[in-house]
Amino acid sequence: MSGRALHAAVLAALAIAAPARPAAAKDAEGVVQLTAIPAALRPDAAYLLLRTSRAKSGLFAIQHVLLRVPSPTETVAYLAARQAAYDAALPKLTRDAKGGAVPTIDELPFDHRGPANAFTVGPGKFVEDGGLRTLLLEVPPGRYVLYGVTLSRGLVTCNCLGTVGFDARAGVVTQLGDLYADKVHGDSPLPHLEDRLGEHMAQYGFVFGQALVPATAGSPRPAGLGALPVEPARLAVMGPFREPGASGINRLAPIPGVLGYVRGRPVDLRAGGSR
Amino acid sequence: MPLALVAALLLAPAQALPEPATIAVPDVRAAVDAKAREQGYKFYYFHKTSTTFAEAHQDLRECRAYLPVGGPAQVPGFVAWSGDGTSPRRSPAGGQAYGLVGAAIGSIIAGPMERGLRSNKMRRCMETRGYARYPIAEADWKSINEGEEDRLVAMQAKLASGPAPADAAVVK
Repeated sequence: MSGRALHAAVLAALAIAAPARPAAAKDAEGVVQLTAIPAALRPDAAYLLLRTSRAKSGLFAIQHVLLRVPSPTETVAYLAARQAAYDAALPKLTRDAKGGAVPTIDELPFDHRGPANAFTVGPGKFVEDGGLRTLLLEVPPGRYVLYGVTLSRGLVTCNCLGTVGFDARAGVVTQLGDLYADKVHGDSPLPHLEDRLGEHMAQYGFVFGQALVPATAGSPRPAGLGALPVEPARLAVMGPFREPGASGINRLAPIPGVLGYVRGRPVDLRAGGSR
Repeated sequence: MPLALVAALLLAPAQALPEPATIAVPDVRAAVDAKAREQGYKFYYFHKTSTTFAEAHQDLRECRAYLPVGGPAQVPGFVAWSGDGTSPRRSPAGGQAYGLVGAAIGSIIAGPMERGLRSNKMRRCMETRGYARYPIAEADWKSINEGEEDRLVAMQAKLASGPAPADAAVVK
């Protein structure tokens, strides 16, 4: 194995294994990736219907990361928990500083034990098999963002340079469309992705990309949906944003007629590029 | 105010532009030697024909804002998304995420890896804005990448908006 290949292999192993997940952290509350289409929808839940690519890196599926925009209540609870953790740690931080600078609250590692709002969506559980697998997720109603791509439990690549979001209403199946994700430093066999970004980039970690082909009224749907209410997702252009917890940054691939980029900044093409 | 403008302002708060004539930069008028050309994927500067110093300065400031590294974003996990372009509140890296073996490996590769990860971020951000990379000697690369942030941005912006490079663009 060459030095370069060894280097890449070590990085891959670290990325898959990390970050170590605290045992007390919770899974994404209210998010269930269904394996069968329900006979009826829960009136207090929203549903996401999408088809996904099935690319892997080694044995591991490349997965989408979705984020639900937190409610003000959730954010306040998070900030309060973080402040409480800092207050509890402050005496020790002060002692350990030995008269020097005491770490600020922004420098305190903090793992929030509350409900998660960022979660993975992979091809493992599906309602219909095929080249693209059809997924149906039961989720809390709210606004969702195509946040990035990962291989395991740590966000690898964020769509920090531009992405889309959409609202998922209670009691309705929101049909997102076809989502693709793959490594994009070189050639990807998947369509729609911005790939061939640079072979050398892969020496330092995974370089993932994501693309969405939005649903339309004529998009294929599983026959089992029957008369359940389904509506195409209404996309909103979002970003840019920062995510210092991702090892890499990228953007959702341009979506003809919807998402474009001008001098690197996301624009809504439906609004004449002005957002 | 459009969201994009809000985000742009938050990402790049107003700041007086330095006077380009007062900024000393490495002389890149001559072609680099073979070694620097070979290592151009590691040691490079950005350039874009017809960009202005002010535009390059803004682009570099916005893109370099992605360089700070925080603690890993765990999935599933909580992201304090604000939607206004600012960072989610996230503690900086400092805990040991990889265990002791990982720490030992990490300490060996941290230098090149950190440079590479920063390079990947800057490439993706700047290349989508139309910039290309051009090789530069390692010592010159260090002079425009190590030191006080405002000075680095000013130096790189001057090179990015300066005369057309003598070398071919780095493509690998």
